[in-house]
Amino acid sequence: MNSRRDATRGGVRGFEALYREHVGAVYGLCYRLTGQRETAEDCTQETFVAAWRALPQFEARSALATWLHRIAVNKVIARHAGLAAKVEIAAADTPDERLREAAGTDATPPLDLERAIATLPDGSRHVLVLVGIYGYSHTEAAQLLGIAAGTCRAHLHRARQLLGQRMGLDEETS
Amino acid sequence: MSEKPNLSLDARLARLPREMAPQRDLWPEIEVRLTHGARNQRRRHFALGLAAGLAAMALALLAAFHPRAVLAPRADPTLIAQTPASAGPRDAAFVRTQAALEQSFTVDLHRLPPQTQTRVLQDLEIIRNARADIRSALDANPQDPLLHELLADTWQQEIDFYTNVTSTTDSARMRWPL
Repeated sequence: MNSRRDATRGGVRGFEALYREHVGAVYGLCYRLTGQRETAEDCTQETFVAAWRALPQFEARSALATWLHRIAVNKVIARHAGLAAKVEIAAADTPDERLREAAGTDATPPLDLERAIATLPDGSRHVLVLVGIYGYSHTEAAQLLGIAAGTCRAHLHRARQLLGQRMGLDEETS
Repeated sequence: MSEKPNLSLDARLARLPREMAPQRDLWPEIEVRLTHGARNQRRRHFALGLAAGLAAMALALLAAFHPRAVLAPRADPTLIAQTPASAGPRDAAFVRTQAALEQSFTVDLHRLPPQTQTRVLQDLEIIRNARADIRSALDANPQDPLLHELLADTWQQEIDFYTNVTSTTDSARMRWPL
């Protein structure tokens, strides 16, 4: 918890050290959850601003990285909920369109894993990222995302199916 | 595709790096938001302190000069008896002094004309209401040193108030024996 203590004592300068230490993990999570660079940058910034404000209430019972992850997931989910409430998702933002855009052709050839993850529907992508990449349990992921554990499992199953199809994997490897 | 074709999907997912560097430095914008927020917070604290200071000053002036026509008459003369002295500070000497002053104030009060009595009680009620408000604020924020200071001020103002009323009635008695 040294970085947290330094951040509390050292003001904004101290907090910058904490930011430098954790920005890679926070941005990586935000990027994979959103699938979009600019949105991930915004969420990363919002995460650190929120962390700065909540730092005095941070309890050393949980790891700082885990705490930042939780804030980051909340920021992504809140942004996603806000966007969904404001506008219907534009046609160019649907998974299939994103897939074509990522592949650069209408023929949709097999994609690499990172780009295939970015094309998944939001719910499936969120679960796949938290459970598949970051190693959260279904219960933890469901809690973070505010969904039921059963829904979490269904999303993961769907994500794996879609990834297998989009990456051209056979049944055994997917 | 850079991954080995026969690697399972789970294994490929687990091999992905958890950290990614953003393409640009995000810190400068974060720093602006943090320093801007801190400045706003300092402004809020300053405004709160200023408002509390002005309120304390207004109470002190009210207690010192007993301004006429502050509120419409509605005070109950039994108000003093309803407010126990034990609600004040725990220092025994202070409590004794306060009780003695309150007792002589109650006696002196009845020597004043009814209209003046009402006005005096209104002024006293203002001080006590302010103390109740400060107590409520302290319940929410018990460690706030400014609120403790304001609370102590209201006790001092009440003491000063009793003293002023007593000295006013004494000098009136000397000029026009009751």
